[in-house]
Amino acid sequence: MDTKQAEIEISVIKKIMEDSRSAVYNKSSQGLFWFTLTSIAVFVNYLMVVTAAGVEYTGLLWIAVSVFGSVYSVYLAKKEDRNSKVKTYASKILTAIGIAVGIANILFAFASIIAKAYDPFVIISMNSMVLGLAFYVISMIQQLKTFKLISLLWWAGSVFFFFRPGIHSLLFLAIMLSVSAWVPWVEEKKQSAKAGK
Amino acid sequence: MDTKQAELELSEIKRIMEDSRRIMIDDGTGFILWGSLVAMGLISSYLSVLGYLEWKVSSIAWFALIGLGWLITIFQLRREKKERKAVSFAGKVAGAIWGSAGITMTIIGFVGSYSGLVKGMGISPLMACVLAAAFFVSGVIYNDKTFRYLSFGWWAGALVMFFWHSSHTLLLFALMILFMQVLPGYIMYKKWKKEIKAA
Repeated sequence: MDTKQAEIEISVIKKIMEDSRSAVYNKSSQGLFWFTLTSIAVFVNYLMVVTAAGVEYTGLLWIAVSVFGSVYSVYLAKKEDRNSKVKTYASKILTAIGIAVGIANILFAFASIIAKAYDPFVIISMNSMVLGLAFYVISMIQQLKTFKLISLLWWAGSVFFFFRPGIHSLLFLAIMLSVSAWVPWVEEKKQSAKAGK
Repeated sequence: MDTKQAELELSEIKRIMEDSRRIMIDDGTGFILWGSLVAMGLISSYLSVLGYLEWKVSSIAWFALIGLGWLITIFQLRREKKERKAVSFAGKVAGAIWGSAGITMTIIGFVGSYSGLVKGMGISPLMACVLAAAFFVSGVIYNDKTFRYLSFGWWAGALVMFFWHSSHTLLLFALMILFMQVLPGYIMYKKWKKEIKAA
């Protein structure tokens, strides 16, 4: 192998690695969208219960959120597929985490509301628990300490609401969803700006 | 960069990739250990429900089994850390998944039931959901379709247990663990042994 060929091969490997990293960062738009949407919906739900205004429309609110979220999510995925040239190993894992957490959280809500297996407050504790798990794994993939901190916050919140279930847990959920979406986003932007310099 | 240095760097990259591949092949002992311990705990609870065993005994059994599981896991991790020089990306992510799934299930089992928010029979389907999520993501990490299919089995089992509010779900969950965790763990162990022999 001559010097030139070796240099080309190394630069190709480097480029693949850099592509992988940026592809993982770009994948966060789905998470950002879902976390923001559900955070707003949970907050509206909380206000409905606290002010006792329009509680009868809670079901309608969640149906609207689910339908709008799913349609927009499909649109977003198609748009991303068109733009992204590479599908990395890390982004595949992130997608799998998103799907697994989504199914788990829907099942918890289903089990409580339809199967009547649990008190509705269990949903919040369980959602927090599974989101803690997801953020812990994401922290390993993205190598961002913020994610680890967020995962610990989710777990702590979950344990707290196992002992103190109440309507204000909805406010915790709304705030945490918002924090989980936007704090890492800001950090990622800062890091990519740094890398770009 | 001269030829020698370039060749050295390439061979280093190759070595790292080969190492990663070898480390990525899980030996399955974690699946066998935790599956067997939880199945034993579930059977002790089931025997208590049927009246063959005092509740006190099964409660102590749970603490002892889960405590033992964590002790062995920590000991294993420490030993592996000493022996292994490099941990691959896949290995790290897989470790994070199963470690956090273990923490999640321990909290559900102990905190959930102690707080009274999750009733005894409600623990199994919640754990099945967590296991389903862990198996689904592991399927992508190990690039193994069997894991994905197993995750659907776990989700289906969780759905059954959500609707079937019976003490017999304890036995069902124990069987699910034996067939959908311990058995795949044993198959992984066999595969791992083969790979080690071939290496």
